[in-house]
Parts: sequence; C-alpha cells; structure tokens
Amino acid sequence: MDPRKQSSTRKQSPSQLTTAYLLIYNSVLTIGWTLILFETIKRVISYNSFGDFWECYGLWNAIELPLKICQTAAFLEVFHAMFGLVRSNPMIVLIQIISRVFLVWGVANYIPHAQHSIGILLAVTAWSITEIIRYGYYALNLFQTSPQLLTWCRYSFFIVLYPLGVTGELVTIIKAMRTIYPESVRNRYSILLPNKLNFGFDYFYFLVVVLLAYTYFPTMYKHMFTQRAKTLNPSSSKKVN
Amino acid sequence: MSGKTQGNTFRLEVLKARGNGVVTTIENISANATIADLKKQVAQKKPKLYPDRQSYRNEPTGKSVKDTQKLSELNVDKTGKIYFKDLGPQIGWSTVFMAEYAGPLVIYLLFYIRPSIIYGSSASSKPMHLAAHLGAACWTFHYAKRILETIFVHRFSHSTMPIFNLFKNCGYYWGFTAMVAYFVNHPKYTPPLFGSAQVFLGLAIFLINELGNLSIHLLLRNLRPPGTTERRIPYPNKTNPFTNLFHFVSCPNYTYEVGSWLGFSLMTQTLTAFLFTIAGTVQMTVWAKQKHRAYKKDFADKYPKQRKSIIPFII
Repeated sequence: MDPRKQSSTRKQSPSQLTTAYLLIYNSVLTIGWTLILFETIKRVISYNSFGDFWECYGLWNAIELPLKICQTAAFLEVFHAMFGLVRSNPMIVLIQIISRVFLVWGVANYIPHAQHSIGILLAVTAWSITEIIRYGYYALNLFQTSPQLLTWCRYSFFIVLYPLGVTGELVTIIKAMRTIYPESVRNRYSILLPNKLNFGFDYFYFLVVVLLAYTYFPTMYKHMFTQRAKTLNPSSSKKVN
Repeated sequence: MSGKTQGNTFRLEVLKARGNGVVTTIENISANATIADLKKQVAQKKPKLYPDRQSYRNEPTGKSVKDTQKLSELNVDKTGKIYFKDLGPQIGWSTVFMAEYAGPLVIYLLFYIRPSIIYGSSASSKPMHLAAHLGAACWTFHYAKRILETIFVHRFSHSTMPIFNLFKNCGYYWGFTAMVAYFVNHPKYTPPLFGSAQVFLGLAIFLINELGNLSIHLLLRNLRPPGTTERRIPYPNKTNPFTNLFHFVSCPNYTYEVGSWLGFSLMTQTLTAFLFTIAGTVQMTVWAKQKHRAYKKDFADKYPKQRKSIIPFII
C-alpha cells in the first residue's frame, strides 16, 4: 500500500552533503523505476495472446533485479527519516514501505507461482509510475525547481494508480494463496510443530492476515485526498508556513 | 486583584482546539475559577461533555493544562479564550483493568483443557508435560493476582481513560494469551532442552519476581494516602527486602514483571512467550521512563540521583 504523502519536506538548512546524497538517491531511483516501467511495457507489447497477458509470461524475470533493488532500497527512507535527512515519521514511512517490500520478497519471490499473474503487471505499473513521479519530484524539489505540473501529477495520479496498485497486490496475494492451499504444498512454506521453540507458523493463514490488513486502504485513500486538497488548493484549507 | 466582587468575572469563549468553531460561551466566570470548575460549568451546558472527557489548553496546539490551575494564572481572563479538546467517551480504569485481566485468565484455561475444536478430537486424552501444567498455574496466578490487586491494592491517580484503550489493551492481552497458550498447551509441545532443572529454575525466577512485584505494589499503595492523588518519593522499606530495588530504579514493579515473564519463558521454552516478554519489556520501559522523568521533574534535587528507570545501572 503505497504512496508516501508529505514524506520529503526537508529541514530548514540541510548540509550540502545531505543535498548531494539525496539528489543521488532520488535520481538513481527515478532511473531505476523508469527502467522497470520500460521493461514492463516492452514485455507487454510483445504478448500476442490473451493467455500470455493474463499470466504475464516472462514479466517477472525481465524486471526482477531492478525491482528488488529499487523496492528494497526504499528501506533507506526509514533511515533518512530517523536521522533527520527528511522530515517525516520513520514509523509511518516503514508502514508505508513494508507492504510492497513484503509483496516482492514474501509473495512473488517466495512463492514463484505468484509471479505469473496479471496482479504483478497491475502492481508494478502503478508502483513505477508513482515512484518515477515521486522521486523525480523529490530530486527537483531539492532545488525548489519542481514544476507545478509535476506537483499536480504527484497529487493526482494516485486517484487511479493507488487502487490499481492495491488491486494488483491483492490479485498476486490471492494467486499465491491458491498455490499454497493444498496441505502438502502449504507444509513446505510453513513451520510445523513439534520443534524446540514450540513455534508453528502457517503461511496460508499468515497471508489471510495480510489480506485483512488491506482493509486499511479506504482510510489511506481518503487521507491522500486530504493531502491533495491541502497541497493543490492551499487557500481553501488553512496551511501552516 | 481583589478577588471577591462581581467585577472579577469575565466572558470566556471555549473554542475547539482542532478546526474552527465555538464549543460554548460562558458569560460570567470568575478569574479565580480553576480548570476543574470550568469543566463542571461546561458539563452543565453540554451534558454530553462530562468533566473527565474535557481537556483544555492555552494554545490550539499547546499542552493540556492541569485541573488545579486557575484561569487567572493562565492569563485566560485577559484573552477571554481557551481551547477545548474532546478526549472522547471515557471508561473507568478499573473496568478496563478487569476486562484486560479476566480475558487472559479465561482464554488461557480454555486452551489448557485442550478443546477438540482447536487441537483435534484425541488431544485432550494425550499426556501433558509438567512445564505445560506449571505454565497454566503461573499464568492463572499472575492474572488472578492482578485482578485482586486492581480490587484491593491499586489506587488510581486518574479515574478514567478513553474508551478506545479498552479495545487496544484487550486486543494486546487477549491476543498474546491465545498465542502463548496455543503453543504451550499443544499436544505436540516439546519439553525444555534441559528438562526439569530448566523448568524449576524458570518457575523459581517467576515466583520470586511475582513476590517482588506484589511487594512494590503494596509499598506504592501505602505511599499514597487514601482519597488523595498526592505524590511522594518511594523508598525501600526495612521490613521487605524486595523493596530494595528502589535503590536502583524508579519502577521496580516493572523490573520484577519483566523478570516474571523471563522466568515463564524459560520454563515453557516457547517462542511466543519470549515475544510477549519482549513486547511487555518495551512497553514497560516506555512507561518507566515517563514515570522516572515525572519523578525527577516533581522532586528535582531531592530525587535520588543513582536511580535509573527500569533496568539497574542501564536504563
């Protein structure tokens, strides 16, 4: 569940080193996500049957490496917040990042069957467009040169991309759950009793809990509309600074 | 300020701290009125906003002011404005505590009888390890003790808390109880690595710490005179050696509680019990640091310097 609103308003006077680092970080990730989007489009236009499209044949293999790098790198943003490089709450940043990192590693990478699902296409398309705009916006904003159009995109595209991304994530998780439901398969993905730590863990039910966490979506979606109103019509609502 | 005449009253606007709008306006309020008096007056006008639900501050984003402060001390008589925050529906502390602690008692024992719906039909006839029996005894003892303490020992400095806390706290305690009890009482339970030595060591650690925890609760009770919310510095008392921990930390009751759960975890050798211990330690450390800071603020130089919050010499 994504987009980090209000994330990167910086402190009053960041050092040059901080600015340089953030510029490199945000630029690299803009490029990384552009690459992912490019590979995704290239793969999709090569499909010539509905079956290919539905199963997203070969898509995961094409984007796996840059996707893993870019999505995992987002953890650095928790540290950025912790050490005051950007002014946001590290806990909130972590919560926002964790669901996507989990989808990449805990679902698609862990249960390879889930890679062959249109959910991956929906999610990755939504994520990459969001992230290209977001990181681009952060990078340019370091010099207060972000064009108004980019700001508008950042606070408008989510209206379509956020539900699209969440749909993709849900479809992927459900595909994974269908895969591991049979007991013989499920046991391979779970921790079984008895063991010395007296701990058991059923991956299928864990994914059920993950699905339940997505009921948080409406709250988050509404919150983003509020942020949108605050940023795009500062006059209509009270704005500090 | 002369204080007794009508001339000392003023018109007070009670504004919402969040958003715009006026909660109510009080035409004649004395500058000598306290925040507690104000709460009563507002409650008379707006019965839904009973006093425990109200909180006031000088600035919309400021800190909440104390009940005992006078309006004149806050300069409210000059500005004619005060900011109101609704704390939401309130519920009594003891109600929350009872629900929190009765749940773990019932839930743990439900798992202890090994119902077929959870563990399968033949589970209840399988033998249970000593550690699992003792686990049930310790868990029951701990929560029964807490319930009794809530009734007979604790004196609360606040009477209510927001109702949301009921759901949050019950979710925490009941959820962890189910996670611990499910594994300790499982028919496929694996006994501790070092056998009965480990079980009895864990049990001893648990019991000693429970006694320590009770000692501190009794000491704290006697520290606060009945019917007051007065605060004093707690010191070890000569009759009970468990209270000596006050030489080292501000909240030995939490130190002992952490010790209890370490003992329980060692005795049952169950991962979820360790996780419960860690979660509890984190939460109690936060509370202990708050209380420690409050003591240092209230008593300043008089407060013993060598004391830490919860872990002697460290935190």
